[in-house]
Amino acid sequence: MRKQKTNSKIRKSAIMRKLHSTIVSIVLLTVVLMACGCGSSLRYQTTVLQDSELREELSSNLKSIYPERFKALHRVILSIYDKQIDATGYLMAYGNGEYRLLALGDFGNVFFDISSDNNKVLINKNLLKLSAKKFSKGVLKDIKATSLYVPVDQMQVAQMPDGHPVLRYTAEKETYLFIFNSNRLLEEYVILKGGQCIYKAQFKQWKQLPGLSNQVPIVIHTTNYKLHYSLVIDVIKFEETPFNLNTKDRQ
Amino acid sequence: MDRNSCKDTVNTFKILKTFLILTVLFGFSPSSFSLADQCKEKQDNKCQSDKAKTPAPQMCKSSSLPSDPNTTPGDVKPVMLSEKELEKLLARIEKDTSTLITLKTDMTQEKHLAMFNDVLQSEGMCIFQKPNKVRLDTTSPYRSSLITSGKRVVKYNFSNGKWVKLKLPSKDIVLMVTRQIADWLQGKFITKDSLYNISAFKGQRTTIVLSPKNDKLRATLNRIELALSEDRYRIESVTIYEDGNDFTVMRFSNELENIKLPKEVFDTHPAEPTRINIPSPPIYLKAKSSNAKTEDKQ
Repeated sequence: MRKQKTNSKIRKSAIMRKLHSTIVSIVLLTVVLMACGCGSSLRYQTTVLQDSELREELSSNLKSIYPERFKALHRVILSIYDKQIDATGYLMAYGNGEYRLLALGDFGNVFFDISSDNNKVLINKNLLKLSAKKFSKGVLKDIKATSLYVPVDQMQVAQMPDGHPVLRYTAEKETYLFIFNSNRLLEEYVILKGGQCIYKAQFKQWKQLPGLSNQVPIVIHTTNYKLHYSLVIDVIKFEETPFNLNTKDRQ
Repeated sequence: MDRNSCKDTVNTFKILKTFLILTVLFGFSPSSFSLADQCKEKQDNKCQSDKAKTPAPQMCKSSSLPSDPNTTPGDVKPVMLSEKELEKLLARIEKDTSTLITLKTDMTQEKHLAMFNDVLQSEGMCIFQKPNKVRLDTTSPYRSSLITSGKRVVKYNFSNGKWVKLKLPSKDIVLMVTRQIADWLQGKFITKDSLYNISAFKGQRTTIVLSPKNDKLRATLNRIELALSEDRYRIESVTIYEDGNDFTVMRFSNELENIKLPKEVFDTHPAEPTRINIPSPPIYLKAKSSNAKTEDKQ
C-alpha cells in the first residue's frame, strides 16, 4: 500500500513538473513572440497631447520632407526569410497621391510596374507573378513609407512612453504612428492593427540632396511583418519634378 | 509553422527564384544558339516569306528590325546576312576570340523608359578570365558586384554605408548564366541548349540578333542585339529590347585584353568585394593557344 502511495506521489509530482515546464515554455514563447516584430506592443502605447503648437510643428515637418511631385531612384535589398535580392526602384510621385513605381533588375529589365492612386493599385507589369492582392497591399505600404503622402491634417499629436513626440491617425482599423526624435526629425513610421505592429519603416541618415531645400532620409528600412519581408532602401537620386497632372508625360 | 505559413514560405522561394531567373535571363541572356535552328520553327516560316518579300532586313518574327540606338539618320541601311554569311561570321568571331584569356572593360548602361521619356544611366565594369570567371561591377549611381568563379557565386551590394554579401536564393541559375556569358565572350555562340534564334545584319556595324524561341520568354523579351566592332568583331554594345518600347543599351569601352589579373579579383570569400588594382601600365599575358595556360610577358 505504502509503495503504491509513494508511486502515485512520484507520478503526480512528475506530471506537475511537466505541467510546470509546459506553462513556463508557453509563457516564454508568448514573451518571445511579443518581443518579435516591432518590439513590444507596449512600446507604441501613446498618450494623446493637447498641444496645438507641437502638432503644427510636427505636421509642418512631416509635410515638408518631400515635395509633392518628385522622382526618386532607389537601390533596394529585399529580404524574405533568410534570402536576399537587390533591385533598383524608380518612383514617380505625380501629386495628389498618384504614383508610379518600377522595379528594375541589374540590366534594366522591369520586374514590375505599378500605378497607384491613393489606395487603389493598378498592376501594369508583374513578371514575378506575385499575388495581386498581397502584392498591392505590400507595395502600397512601401510607397507610403517612401513618399510620406499621408493625411497630415487629420492627425493627433501624442507622446510615446519614452517621451518622443508622435503624430497619429487611424483609418480602416489601422493606426498610423509617425515617431519623431528629439530633434523633431521623423525616425519611425509604424502601422498597428489590433494592437499588433504590422509594418515599420525607419528613416536614417538625413541629408540635403542637390536641388532640394530640405534634408531627406537617404536610408529607409522597412519591415512588413504580415508579408514577412523587409527592404533596405538607399536613396540614390531624388529630383523635384514639374510633373503636371494634365499633361501627357505620365500616361 | 502552420500550413499557411508553410505555403507562404514555398511561394516566397518560388518568387525569389523567378526574380533571379528573370534578372539573369534579361541581363546577360545566354549566347547559346544553334544555326540549324534559325528560322526553322513554324513561326519562322513567316520570317522566311517576309524575307523573300522584303529585301531590307525583316528578320524573324520577334525581331522586326533593328532600330539600332547607336545609328543616326543617314547611316548605312542595315542588310540581313544570309545563313552562309552568318555561319562565316560566327566562325570568325570564335576564331578571333580564341586567344582571349582575360578581359577588363568599362561598361555604361542606359535604360530607356519610353513611357516616362527618361533615361536611367549606370556605369561599371566587366572582368572575365578564361574559362569561367566573370565579375560584373556597377560603380555608379549605386555600387554592386556579381562574382562567379568556377562553381562559386557571390553578389555584393553597397547599402547603408557598408557592403552586404547577399544570400542569393539560387546560385545554380546565376552560374548557368555566367557560364553562358563566358561562352559569349569567347565567341561560342552555338550550343545545343539554345534559347534563341540567331541572325545578323550589317549596317553601320555588324550586329548579331538573338530572338527568343520560347513564347513565354518572347512575351517579355523581344530581342537582344549585339553590335560588334568592325575591326576585330568584339562586342561593342548589347541592346536588350523588352516588350513595348523600353530598351536597355550596354556599351563597352576601354577594353584591356589578356592582362594579368590579381587572383583576388574573383575571390568569393571576403565579406566585401576585393578592390580591383590593375597596375598602370598593365602587365600583359602571352596567349599560347585557346586552351593554353597563361604566362607573364613581363
